[in-house]
Amino acid sequence: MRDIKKIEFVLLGILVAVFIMMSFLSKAFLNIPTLLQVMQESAELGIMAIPMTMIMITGGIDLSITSNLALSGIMMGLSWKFLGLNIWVAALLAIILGGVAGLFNGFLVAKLRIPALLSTLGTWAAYAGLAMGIVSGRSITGFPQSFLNLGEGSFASIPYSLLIWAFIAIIFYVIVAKTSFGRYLFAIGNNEMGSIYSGVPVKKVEITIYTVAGLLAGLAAVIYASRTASAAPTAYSGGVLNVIAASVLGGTDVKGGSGTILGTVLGVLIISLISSGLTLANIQSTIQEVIIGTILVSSIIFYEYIGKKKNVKELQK
Amino acid sequence: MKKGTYLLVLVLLSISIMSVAAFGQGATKPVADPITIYMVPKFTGAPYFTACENGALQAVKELKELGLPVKFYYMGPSVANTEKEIQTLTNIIALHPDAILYSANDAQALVPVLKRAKAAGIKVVGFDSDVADASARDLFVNQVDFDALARTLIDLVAKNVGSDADIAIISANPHATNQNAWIASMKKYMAKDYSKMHILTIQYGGDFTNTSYQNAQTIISAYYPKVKAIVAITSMAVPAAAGAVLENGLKGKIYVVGLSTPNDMKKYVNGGVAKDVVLWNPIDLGYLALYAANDLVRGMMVSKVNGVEYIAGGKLGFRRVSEDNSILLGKPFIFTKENINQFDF
Repeated sequence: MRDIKKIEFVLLGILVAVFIMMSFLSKAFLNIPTLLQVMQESAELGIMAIPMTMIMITGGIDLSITSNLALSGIMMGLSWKFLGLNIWVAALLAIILGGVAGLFNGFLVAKLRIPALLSTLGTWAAYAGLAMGIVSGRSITGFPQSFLNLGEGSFASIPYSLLIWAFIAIIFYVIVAKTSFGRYLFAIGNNEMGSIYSGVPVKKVEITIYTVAGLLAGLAAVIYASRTASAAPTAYSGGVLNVIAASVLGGTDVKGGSGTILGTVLGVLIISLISSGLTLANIQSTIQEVIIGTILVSSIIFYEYIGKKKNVKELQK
Repeated sequence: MKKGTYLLVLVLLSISIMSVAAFGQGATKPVADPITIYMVPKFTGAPYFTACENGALQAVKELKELGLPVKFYYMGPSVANTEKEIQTLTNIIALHPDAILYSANDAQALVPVLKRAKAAGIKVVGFDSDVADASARDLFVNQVDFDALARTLIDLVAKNVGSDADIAIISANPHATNQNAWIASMKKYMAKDYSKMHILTIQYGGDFTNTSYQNAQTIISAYYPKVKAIVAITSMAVPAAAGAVLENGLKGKIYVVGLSTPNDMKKYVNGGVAKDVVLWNPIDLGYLALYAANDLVRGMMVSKVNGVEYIAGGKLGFRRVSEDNSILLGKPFIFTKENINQFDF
């Protein structure tokens, strides 16, 4: 068991340190519109990292989440362009279809008991291939301006996508930290067999979180499509590792049993602000990756050896 | 006609001399204020884009000697990644450079961010890979036009194995925009100038080395000795076709030509399996793109003659700006045994 409070506190400290360091590195960094723009571009990542954290708390993983984003985006584009649906109806449909794709993952993991790593590796390839095949590699474009406003527009100068991310983060923070459903996640991650015997509806919980992951991938697809004014079969391809990295940096234990939504949000912010600050300081992305990778590894070492709960450490001795 | 061309060249030359001269007189200080230009490739670390960067650096050096200093930065995602490229561009916009050179990973997804750059008063110049919406940028430097590339390939086939040769084509996939345009252009040109030349088959290797190799095997087993040439129009397929020809002991019997990069083809060109490889020169591409950006930012070396705009590209001379605000690098570049070892991309 990791000491979540300690980890959240440390992450907050890192975020502040990043802010201070980056503002010294580049004069352009401490600029509210720039920061908002940078964070806005992390909204999809942030939204997807939330269900990823929940799944990883149970000891699972969803590698298909970004392929699901691409597929949902394509479905939205197709149903708008070729079925003539209203764009917002199409967006809703995309979210639902994303949920269906997630439900299928949940079915594979919870009912057929195929390890999450394998089943979602399979659907990762399948959803990406499907997205690519349906449109034979082409993007769908020409969305109405009202839809593009979702990705470009803002309320009280805070971008809509940031507001949506914040809203979802708060809801799931409460669910994970304050409800019995949240406690089930940790129970499953710590001891799945034990949870089954003590009456935790393990299958239901697992199916639910994979479905939620699908729904939120669909939502991320809608935001992504509106931000880039296109639905592309290659959208976010290869981005799944970033989602996992943000969650891991945020203190989620890949082995299950530990994790926090606040930590994950901080993880996303730290990664995107570091990469932004380094770009503003004209530091190459290859070096940025080394720096972010180093931070990731050191954070895991920290979580494994120092960030444990006292009593657990004593037990292990 | 001829006279007109001469006149045009004369006018352009005098304008360019005058503009440099005027600049020299008008400036109270010998060196102009430096401008900042960012070059954002699809991804860094690829020899092809490093070649583009080197071309741009060459232009920066020349401009500095002319008293036109440019602060040049080369920044991009480390692998082909649209999201990363958008993020890089967003950050660069925050730095308010004078110009951005981009090569788009995605023709659609980059449109909004480039529009933001343009709205921020940054000159936006594309090279290598454009975006779908021409209004999102100020200029695009096109490497080579489709027809010229197709013609060069067909001319090489005719020159090497005769104007009545039967040929086979290896393409990427049936939906690939560039490849289909090249095929259409080749067919058109053959119908017009080489009516006895025929396409026996078009195979699709999906831009994969293995599949392209199998395509070449299929062509050889089904059509040899009828087939005289294999024309491969994706960079993966040319070495694959050359490899298949070599394996089957048909070196010199089947002429292999196509669009690929020197590093992929050196082995086969030096070994005599493929005589010619067609592409463009990415060093010149980067060079021209940087000159064009400099010209647009400084509002110099851009001339209007009879309503047509021309833009100066240093040693490459003036380039005509077409209706969709693009300029053309020039003719396809043919790599042969004689020159291929000088290139590293």
